[in-house]
Amino acid sequence: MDHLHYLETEAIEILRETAFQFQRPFLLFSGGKDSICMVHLARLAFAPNPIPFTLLHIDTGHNFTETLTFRDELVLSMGLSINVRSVVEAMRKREIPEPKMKFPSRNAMQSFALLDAIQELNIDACIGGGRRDEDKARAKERIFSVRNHEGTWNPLSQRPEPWNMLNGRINPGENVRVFPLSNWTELDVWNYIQREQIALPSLYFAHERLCLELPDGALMGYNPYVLLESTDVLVERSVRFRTIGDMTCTAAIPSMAGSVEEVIAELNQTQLSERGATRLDDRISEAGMEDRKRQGYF
Amino acid sequence: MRILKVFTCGNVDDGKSTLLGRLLLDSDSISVDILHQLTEQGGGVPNLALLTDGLRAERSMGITIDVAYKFFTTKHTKYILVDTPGHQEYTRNMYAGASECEVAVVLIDALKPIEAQTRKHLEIMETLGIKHLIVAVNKMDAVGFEQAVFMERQSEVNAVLNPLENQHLHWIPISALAGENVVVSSQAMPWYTGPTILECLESIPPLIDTHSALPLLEIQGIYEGAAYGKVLQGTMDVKNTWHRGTQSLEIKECYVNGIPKAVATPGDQVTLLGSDMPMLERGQQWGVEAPLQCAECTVELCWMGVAMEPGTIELILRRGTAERMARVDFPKQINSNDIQHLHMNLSAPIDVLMERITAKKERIILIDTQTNATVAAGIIKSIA
Ligand SMILES: Nc1nc2c(ncn2[C@@H]2O[C@H](COP(=O)(O)OP(=O)(O)O)[C@@H](O)[C@H]2O)c(=O)[nH]1
Repeated sequence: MDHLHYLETEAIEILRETAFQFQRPFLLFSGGKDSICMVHLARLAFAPNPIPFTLLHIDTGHNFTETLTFRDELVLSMGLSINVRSVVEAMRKREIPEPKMKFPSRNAMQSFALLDAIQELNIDACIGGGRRDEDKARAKERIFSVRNHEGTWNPLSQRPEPWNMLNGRINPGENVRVFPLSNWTELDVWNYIQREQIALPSLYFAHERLCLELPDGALMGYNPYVLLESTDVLVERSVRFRTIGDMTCTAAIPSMAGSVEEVIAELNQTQLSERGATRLDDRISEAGMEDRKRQGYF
Repeated sequence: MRILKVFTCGNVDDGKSTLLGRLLLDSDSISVDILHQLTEQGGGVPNLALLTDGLRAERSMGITIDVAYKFFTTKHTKYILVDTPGHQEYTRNMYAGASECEVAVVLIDALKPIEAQTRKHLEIMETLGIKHLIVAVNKMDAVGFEQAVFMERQSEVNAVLNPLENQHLHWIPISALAGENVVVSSQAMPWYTGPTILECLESIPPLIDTHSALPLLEIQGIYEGAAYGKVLQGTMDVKNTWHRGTQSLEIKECYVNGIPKAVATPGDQVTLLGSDMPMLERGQQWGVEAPLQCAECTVELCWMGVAMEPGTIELILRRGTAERMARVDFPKQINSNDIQHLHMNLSAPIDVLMERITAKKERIILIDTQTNATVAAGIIKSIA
């Protein structure tokens, strides 16, 4: 069986199981390529009827404007409904100060806004775009991943999923994170985008951008939140983004790839992993993702 | 590109993690930043075993606890590697991990006679009916690449293995650490002229799907007047008449993976439209021939929960999308990771096809009514 057909079918089945096993499922939408693919898959899963999920955007307030514009256009053109939750508000509520660093990241604080949303909106399932190839902790997570009332993931007591039989039964207060793209790699996502001709924010393609060049050669798109030092050098480069997180901590990569075909060709050449190439926050600790997930992260 | 799900098992320290790491490394599937990290941790040479040991507890204990998924591609195949733990106490994870795989690589240590746990692994392969079994005798470097040692292990395994008729066995002597016969052919073992592990995987023919079988649909749910379902086997044509018990069903229009189409193949996700849809329910099977009703069955189960005393308990049975209460008889104590044949009575019948039972395709899980945990998985052996 063709691998993209297999992955598409698997994702559709997972999305349908989510719709039929839960009362209040939401689809986590970040505006990145993975969540855009999920919206596309959800449309296929329930066609010709409308997508039975409300989107949920955990907004750090550090989004690229391109992402937000794309989000709003997608929601409008597909007739979706979306709930936007503010990370800044969740931080204020908990009196968490703004991170003071050169590249101030609110990424880790997204968990708070997510947990608040789950509680206030009575969400029993959150569909996320996590892929097992992204990270060693994710590589071990189930497709239906149960979280307790505090949002905690316990990796040592996960439910086995033989023959992909997904058990979404939960007790009150618990919720489930659902990962339809578990078995996709970054390249699978791009090949699927090509096959299905899915539109993406322009950030994913090469464009001229004012960047800050870090000592290790990494390029950070310049934005007003970065605390510039006198020794910093701003350069204009042709770059694109491999992941679209907070604009404050997502590095750009030098690239000339202006189309989906060129991005695929570029990825076939690249030597760096997706996160290694672009996420400052994940470079910090080897167990970074596992710790965050245990605390309620996506 | 096709997809192939491969799983690896072996005893603790037989070199499973090293083998996976080697496979990824020699097929150029490890990115430089991750290789750099592994090399730092290995004090100069990449510590291949660390590639798949993803969780903190595993790193601190230095063992593999849970199922980990890794991916790599060759020209024609996307591989999903399922790395499963070797410890006796994690057999259940192995069963779950292996359940969906077409190929199993069972690792054996050349340095020691095969152990009880390896027998357990082989038993599970047989139980699950995994089509291709690659038995890799590892650490050949540590025994001077001696053919005699390889043959010794071979005869030990043959003494306990009863491969099913349709199971294929492949024997390969390897050194995961040195990379002999994993991706690259070994120069050190001229007496072995067969394929490397990767060559063997590449040559495994695509899974024979069940296009020619009797078409069968399973209903996932009803939404906005449409029925959502999956083609379990056979080729579905929108013109077919479907049967269940004494009822029959006509479909007016069909979507396959979201696109209007008249024909769907096994595994496809379909949307069914027509005036008969409201009588459909989640969990039903509809066939070109009506399925049987099963209210009582015997299941070969792998127990995944805590130990149970002899007696009868009520659990939730799930078969595909069908759910029933099941009264399960435990004639003797069952411990976590045990495999036993158990008899159960269902609160209401489920639909099954006899040919699917023969083919080990009617699979179930059991769910605890209090904790909602999945406490067992198994294959229906016979129905009453
Ligand atoms: N001599 C030798 N040692 C090996 C080989 N493969 C693995 N080992 C060693 O065996 C030990 C256990 O390996 P590991 O991959 O962690 O085993 P696992 O518990 O099965 O995952 C480690 O010290 C490895 O370096 C091999 O081919 N030859």
